[in-house]
Amino acid sequence: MSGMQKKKTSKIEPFKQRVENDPNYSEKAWKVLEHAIHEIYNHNASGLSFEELYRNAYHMVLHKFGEKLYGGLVSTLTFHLLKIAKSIEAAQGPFFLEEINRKWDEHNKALQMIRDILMYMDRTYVPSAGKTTVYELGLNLWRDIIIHSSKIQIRLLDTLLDLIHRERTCEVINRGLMRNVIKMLSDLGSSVYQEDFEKQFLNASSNFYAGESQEFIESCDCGEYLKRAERRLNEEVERVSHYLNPSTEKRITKVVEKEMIENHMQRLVHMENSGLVIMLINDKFEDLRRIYNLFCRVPSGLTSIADVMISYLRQTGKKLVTDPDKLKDPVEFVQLLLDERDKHDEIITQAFNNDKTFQNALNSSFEYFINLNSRSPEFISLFIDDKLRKGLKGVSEEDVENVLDKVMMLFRYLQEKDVFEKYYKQHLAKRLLSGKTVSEDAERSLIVKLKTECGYQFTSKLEGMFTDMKTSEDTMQGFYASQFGDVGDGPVLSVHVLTTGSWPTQPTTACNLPTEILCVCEKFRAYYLGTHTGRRLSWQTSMGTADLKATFGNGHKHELNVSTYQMCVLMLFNTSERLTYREIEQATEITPADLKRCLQSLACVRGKNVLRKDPMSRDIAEYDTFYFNDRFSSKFFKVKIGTVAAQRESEPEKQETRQKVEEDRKPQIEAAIVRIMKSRRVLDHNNIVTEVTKQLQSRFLSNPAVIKKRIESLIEREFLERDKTDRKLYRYLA
Amino acid sequence: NSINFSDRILRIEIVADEEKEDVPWMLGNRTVLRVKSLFVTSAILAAKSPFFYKLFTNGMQESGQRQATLQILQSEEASLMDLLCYIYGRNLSSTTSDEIVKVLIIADKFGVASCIRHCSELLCNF
Repeated sequence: MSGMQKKKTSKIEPFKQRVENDPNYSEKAWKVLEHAIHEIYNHNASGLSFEELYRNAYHMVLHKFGEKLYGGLVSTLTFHLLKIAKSIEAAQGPFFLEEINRKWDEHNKALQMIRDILMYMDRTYVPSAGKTTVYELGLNLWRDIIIHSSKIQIRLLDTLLDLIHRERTCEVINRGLMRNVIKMLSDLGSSVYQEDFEKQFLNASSNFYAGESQEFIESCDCGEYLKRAERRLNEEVERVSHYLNPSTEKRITKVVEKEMIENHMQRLVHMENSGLVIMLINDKFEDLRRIYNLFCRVPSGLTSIADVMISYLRQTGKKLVTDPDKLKDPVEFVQLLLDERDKHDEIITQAFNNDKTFQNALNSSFEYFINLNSRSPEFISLFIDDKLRKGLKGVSEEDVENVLDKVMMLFRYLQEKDVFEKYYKQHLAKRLLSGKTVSEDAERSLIVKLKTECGYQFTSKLEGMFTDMKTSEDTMQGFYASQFGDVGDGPVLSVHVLTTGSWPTQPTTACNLPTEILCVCEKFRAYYLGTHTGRRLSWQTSMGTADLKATFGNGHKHELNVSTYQMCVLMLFNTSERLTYREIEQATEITPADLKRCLQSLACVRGKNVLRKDPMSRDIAEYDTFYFNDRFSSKFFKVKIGTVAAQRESEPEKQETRQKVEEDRKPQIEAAIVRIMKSRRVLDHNNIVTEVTKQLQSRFLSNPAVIKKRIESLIEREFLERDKTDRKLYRYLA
Repeated sequence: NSINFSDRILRIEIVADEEKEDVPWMLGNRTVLRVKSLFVTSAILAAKSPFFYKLFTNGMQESGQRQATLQILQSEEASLMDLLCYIYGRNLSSTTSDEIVKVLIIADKFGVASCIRHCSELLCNF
């Protein structure tokens, strides 16, 4: 290989020597080329012989006159560009840009031809001498001589910015020309585009939009402002696509976002009579969507919306849950809550892209204000009770599920889920025992939902209630089968055997049942204890119902559906026409509160007054006298006499329930403490409190003071002890 | 070199090699020894050589004509013909290293990258 190279060089060396001795010839060759370049700039290129020029350039480079050639090129180009600069400077007004554009076009074409004839130099001399290529050289010279000329640079920039400003103020400009000129700047290198144009363009835009947004915000409402801001953003994007470098899009939109949105964010959101709150109230989906789309472009934009939304929701929610008017009807109240939730849920899905930020905002707000009212658990349970009693009639199964799902959403917000459980148990018990539940499927499905939400423990007792109902049915069948139709004309008894503990405990208020009933009851007791030894039966007369057949004056016959207490009272009138309050009380031994309630419903309700009272007042007094109302009549054969039962709990009852709930919480807290201490052995006070709170969160929010009391009680009972050195540490005692 | 497939005529003027006091590359006013005309396909030449590509397209005199003229030295003639053969897809007929070096120089002049590479490989194998 080395031998061969020698050959090559030995062949060429004499070649060179011959040449070097005459610079005149190189001078001649350059003259030819120089002339050609002039001709090219004068648009006479078609008369030149490419082959000849190429050959001359080739030989110049080959024979070491590359530097001369390159230097000549530079000075020739410079000469022409200076001439061009003059003619551009001379261009007046609107022709300025056009002249630049035209000259640039010509320069570009000329450069390409020059590059072609100097191709050999570009390929060999330029890289080895570390120069820039012909084309690039042409661009650089154009940049330095034309664009950076003191007379052109500023004028060009001003002209461009002025045109853009005019377009922003709705004038029509020559976009093609703009595109070409700006393309020229980008072709000269990204730094030229950025330094000479983009930077100033962004500055000018920033000023423009700062001013415009100020003007808009003084004169428009929020919705209109956002509409305009959106339009401006679109315009800028469009502008970039028409005649700016694509890299500018991000920067210019950022400028607009900052000036039009970020700087006015708070003011926009809080704008009176048109801000976010008004949009929320009036369901302005389109405006809300717009505000979302615009605000999500700027940092902390969404959080500022969410903040306002939260405070708005909390405020309205607080008003709602503390408004005594709304609290009168629990069903209405819960329905209002549901509507409120639906409304905002819709807004979030429709306008806010289902954004997590807002879902969380919605949830946290509801959680906040629902728990402001300590009766929320009761009301939600009442709402469900109402729906399951009657509200779901004629509604498809899907809709039932829907309603229940929504209620479960509210339930999820409750902190005191155990209070809800308490009420739910009572309401369920009433529904089951009075046979008023509309659909067992719906009941079951709700239980399943509660179970998935709160775990097995939460619903085990509720499920126990359903099982009791089922087994009672079987027991009753068994009972009547065993009696061999022995019952005769006696009353038909239906007993629900309820497991203690599963059902809401009611103090057993004994009452004297009529002898006819008592007799059947005794038979049942004998049967039941016969099949289940070792059990104890006690009669819950406060929860039963009875159907009585009554004959009034003129032979009117009616079937009266009454409670057990009412039955006891009415049975007394089988034997006497007139009884005083005292007499009734003695005979039945019903507690005064219950008796009064039951008499009131028998004597004071219009259309259902099977008893007459003397005197005819609305309230029952202890010295009243009652008569059998012979003239009672009703359109219906069956008459249902409801107890004037407090649907909502009265104040003392509420206190009582609360106390019961508090009482129930104690063992749960203790159990949680023991569970935690068993696994941790040693733990300090604060940690126990947080852990306990966390464990019980699904049921209720525990009060640290209560937890402390429980800990003390556990120490007393020697489950725990305080550490001897650090009093804040507790130790588990096995 | 068939008329049928060609769209251009390449007219090759062959001039005498240097005379003593002459500079070899100032060919302009040298006497033309003879002229050779070849039928060529511009697309094939242009594909292999940027020189020919520009010769046929860049908008100067030759682009508009059916005939383009090349001026070469007599000593270059054989090599140029060999290069053209190579461009048309045949093997080089040059075999000696001297000949191949000459072809290499011509290939370099017209920027025929594939031939430059080929010649270099051949020379390496000597």
